[in-house]
Amino acid sequence: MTPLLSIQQLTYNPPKRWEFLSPRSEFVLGPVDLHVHESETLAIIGSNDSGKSLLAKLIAGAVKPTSGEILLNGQPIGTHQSKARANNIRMVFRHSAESLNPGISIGSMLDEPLRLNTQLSPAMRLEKVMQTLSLVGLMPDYYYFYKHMLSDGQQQRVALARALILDPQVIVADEPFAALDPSVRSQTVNLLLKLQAELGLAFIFISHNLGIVRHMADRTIVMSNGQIVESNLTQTLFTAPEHPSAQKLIHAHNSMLKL
Amino acid sequence: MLDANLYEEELHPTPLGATWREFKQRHVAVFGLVILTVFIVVAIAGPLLSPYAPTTQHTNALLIPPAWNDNGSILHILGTDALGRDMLTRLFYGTQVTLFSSIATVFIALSLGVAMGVVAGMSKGLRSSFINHVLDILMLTPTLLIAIIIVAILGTGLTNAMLAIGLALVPRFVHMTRDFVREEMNKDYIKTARLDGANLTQVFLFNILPNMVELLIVQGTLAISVAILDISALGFLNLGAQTLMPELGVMIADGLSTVYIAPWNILLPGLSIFLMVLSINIVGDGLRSALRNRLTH
Repeated sequence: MTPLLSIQQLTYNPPKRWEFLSPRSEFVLGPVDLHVHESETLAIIGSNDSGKSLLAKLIAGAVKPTSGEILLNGQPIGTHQSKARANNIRMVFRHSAESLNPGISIGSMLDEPLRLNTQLSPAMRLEKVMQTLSLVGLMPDYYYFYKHMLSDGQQQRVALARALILDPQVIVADEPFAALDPSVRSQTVNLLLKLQAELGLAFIFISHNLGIVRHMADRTIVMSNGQIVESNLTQTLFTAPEHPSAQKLIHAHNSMLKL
Repeated sequence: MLDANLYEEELHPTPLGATWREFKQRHVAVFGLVILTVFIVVAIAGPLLSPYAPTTQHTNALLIPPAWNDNGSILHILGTDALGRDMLTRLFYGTQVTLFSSIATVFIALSLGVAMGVVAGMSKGLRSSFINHVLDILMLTPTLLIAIIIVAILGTGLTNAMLAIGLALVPRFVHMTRDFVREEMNKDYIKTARLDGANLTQVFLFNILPNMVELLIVQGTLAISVAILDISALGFLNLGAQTLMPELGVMIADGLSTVYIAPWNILLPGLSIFLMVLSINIVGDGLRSALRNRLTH
């Protein structure tokens, strides 16, 4: 069975700058190999500066990879900002508050991906926006609202709605739960699990919260220094981590649980 | 799941409606708007309202004071000047010339400056710097001085004065737009728009421009008041609009020779300029806070 999303030998070297301006040694990502199946949840964990966010951005196309290929359903996705990618792989950024435009209403924000990527008529777009709003549990009124009128959790839902509106096959989320308080966080987690069950999405997310990772993810990969050092079923990984950096993370998590 | 038809509020203020709601909270701003509206109405409807032509000389009614003075005449409500031209009529026409030429100048300069600034802000490296700084030489000297230089080369006249002032305003607009666009381009919401497949034009029109309105209003109104002052200053110096044209600066210059016996001849055009500039600044300030509050309240 071909995996839904398959990443082969993906690398990223930051473009060379003048040496005297950036004396620090350059960070290199990869080469990374990764496969994600339909309706699968994949969590990426790792310490800071391990390249988690960069990998997410590479998958979503926000950053152009140096080499390597990303295959969707066995087909290579071409250039780094193509229609096929915009339709099928959607990204939720780390701070949803900053990924929403303060100057336009939620409605026109959600309308934009439809306008750019589909041939729908304005009336059909409106209907789709309304559907998506109710899918993420927001009232139709929110169509007319602006970002500043919403709470953090609601902003998170809008960011999610923006990702979902094109009926994508893969959602990549960079720490989607970091800024949320525990009750909203569990609401969002449940929302995501429900949507995944309904729509058959593949969901790739980055998190520092290993409790959520353990709860949500089917598989977990551990990154360190731009490399995937361990990739396993979540349950296996949490019971028997092999790589030292994975052990560190899991033990820290477990010791907190025991307190 | 929430029921979609549970409750829907009937009235959602449009962006314009929300701005107006914030704007009218500030009474000073509304007062400024009233004054500005009077000026705009006068400027548009002036030819219909005025009883005389601006150049008609009433040779039997020279230097008549305004109507409330004992020597005044109700035929000339604001009096006449040394050539017997009706002051009210000339003020109507003068407002038209000065206000509309300033607005036109700023509008053209703003469009040009913003276009260049956007290209500079969205490109990188040498091209960005070049576009950004190509007109900087115009910022070295004060606006009025550049205008005088350009008028000296191209000759006097209102069009040349407008050209000169417009040209002097462009680099400011280029810089402000470029800085703003550069800053916005790094934000996450632009990245999401880019990931949606928006090209740079679409990113600017649908994502950056809605956030830029506040800046444009502030800089635009500032520039309009500068342009009004400069156009009338050039008219006063006899470098812009020429004597026959009823322009407010020209009217002040005309009235200067009879200032001791007929002070209203410079007082009234001067007052018009003052009120115009004041009301534009007040309205601009009010609009700015209204636009900002619309996105924070």
